[in-house]
Amino acid sequence: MIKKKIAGFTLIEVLLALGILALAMSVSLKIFSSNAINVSKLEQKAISRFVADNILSTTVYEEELSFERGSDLQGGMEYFWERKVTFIEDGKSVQIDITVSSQQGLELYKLQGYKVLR
Amino acid sequence: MNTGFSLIEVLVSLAIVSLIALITLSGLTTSLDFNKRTLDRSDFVNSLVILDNYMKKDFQQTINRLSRDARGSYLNHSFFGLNPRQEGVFLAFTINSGDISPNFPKGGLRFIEYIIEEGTLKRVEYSYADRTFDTPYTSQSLLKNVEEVKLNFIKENSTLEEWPAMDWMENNGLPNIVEISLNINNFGLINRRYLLTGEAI
Repeated sequence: MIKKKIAGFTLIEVLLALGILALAMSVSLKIFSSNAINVSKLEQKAISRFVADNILSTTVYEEELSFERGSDLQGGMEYFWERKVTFIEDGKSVQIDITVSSQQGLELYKLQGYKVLR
Repeated sequence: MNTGFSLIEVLVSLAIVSLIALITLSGLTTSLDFNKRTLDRSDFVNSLVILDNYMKKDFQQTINRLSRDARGSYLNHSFFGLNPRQEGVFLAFTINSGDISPNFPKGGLRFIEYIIEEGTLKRVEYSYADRTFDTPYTSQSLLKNVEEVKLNFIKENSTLEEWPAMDWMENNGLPNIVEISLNINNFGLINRRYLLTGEAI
């Protein structure tokens, strides 16, 4: 029989390769999951802007203005809004502050508008 | 000296390698699949925001103007809106975009149409308010997977499902608020309320 040099991997080499693989996978998983979290944050932000803008549209059209709060269902998620009305010194216009928060009470979007009273 | 592997050793090592490969592969495919879904969601949110920006701007710039149709006759109303039972145009109106090119002056008036076609929401912008058969236009697909579009028009505390209301034959100007609710596949219902501020010119 011809004597051959064994051209295999040692255990250390295999373990090292496996370790690198596991590291790479965990990094990619981390990136993907943080991506997903960012996307859902962006989505909440974008839709909370819609909610605030909807309230502002109604407010501009409404006759009587007062502090109000409520919730709005958008895309299967509930958003909570709060509308503050502040009369400006000249008595002819009001400042409208709308805050939209998530179900967990996290503030998502703030919108400020003005309305000239008729 | 025998320096080779026995059959058992080869089989065992093969099994181990295939097991590792299986685990890595399934892990990789799950994470890639997950990532693809995330990217799709991100694309969807993007297109939703783009659509909202277009609609918001269009309704801010809507003017009460009777434009001409492609045959040259005046339209009866300056704003058209109806709940699309089937495919086709569901909103049509004139805007003053204020976009006047210095090189090619043509005014800022545009005719806008929103269309639903095979579940895709499209926006068509004609370069002139008074169209002819060959008026150049741009058509953009803004949102996919739209299952249903529902419209409401609010004018002086009354809510209408169509604009103009069927019994109004003369031009009745613009509604105060246009309410749009979109039922989107894999997302659900989204409601928007746009204020129209345009006056007649």
